[in-house]
Amino acid sequence: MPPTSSTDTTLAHRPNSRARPSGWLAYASAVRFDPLAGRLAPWCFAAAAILALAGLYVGFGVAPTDAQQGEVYRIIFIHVPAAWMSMFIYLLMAIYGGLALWLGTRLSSMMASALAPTGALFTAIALVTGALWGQPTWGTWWVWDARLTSELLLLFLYLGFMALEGAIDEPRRAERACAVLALVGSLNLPVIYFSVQWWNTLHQGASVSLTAAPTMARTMLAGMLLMALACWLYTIAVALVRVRLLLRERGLLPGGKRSEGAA
Amino acid sequence: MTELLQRVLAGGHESFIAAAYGISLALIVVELVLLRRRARRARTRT
Repeated sequence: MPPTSSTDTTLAHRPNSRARPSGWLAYASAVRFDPLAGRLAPWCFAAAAILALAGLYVGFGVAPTDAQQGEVYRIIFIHVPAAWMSMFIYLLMAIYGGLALWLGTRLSSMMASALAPTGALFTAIALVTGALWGQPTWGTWWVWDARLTSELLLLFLYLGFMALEGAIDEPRRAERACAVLALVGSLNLPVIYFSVQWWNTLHQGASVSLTAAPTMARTMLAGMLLMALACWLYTIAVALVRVRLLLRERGLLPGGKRSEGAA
Repeated sequence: MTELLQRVLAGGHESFIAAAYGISLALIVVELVLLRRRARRARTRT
């Protein structure tokens, strides 16, 4: 049996593992992942900034004025990508949580922890921009319809995840509890997505779907997709930076001291 | 785009666009500032 580094967090829970992981799986090890994340993060930040500028240019300079809503519809270029990200990020957190419980990989738990604040950020953006879009188009900031309420519940799930993580001192116990919360909370995702079909809501149905042609102008769609890509790359960059910090704070890198009480 | 900017400044319905993007940008900046502070704290502790 080859020697296992004391900082190899992948195999920390698996004393019976016979071989070191190879290929991409090797990057589940903190020692291998940390330098890769350090190299990737700045490129992701730069690409996110460029794509966001391109998306805003297409959204404000190229996309036409909407025949019904006028200019106010341009909130779509931040609202829809933020709403997509709020759901994708929670789905990712649930997958990482499941992997952490199944395989015992601590890096998976840390990825879930690293994604949670950014998920909460995008959920808050989706809710705020939705309210700012709702007032001029619906005549109200907020209604307790299924889509809006389930999205608000998602924000509480993110905040609950972060609060739970902060409330438990022992990191392993906190990681397990958060993984369970992420998995259980993921039941809310289909409710958010299908709410406009299952219930009669004030919120409009999906304009973009994987199974049907989009019901909007191509330039509008292009601007929205560019902004969505920018949000993805921003999320990846921030999550990579945050995981590197978690590795240092928990003393999981060679020569790193453990520090408690990090935000 | 200039016409849109004028309408935003005039405080019409279009000012909601400015508020939406402004608040979103502010929230992102807050996240990045908190992340930077946390990185500084981690550097001084290790």
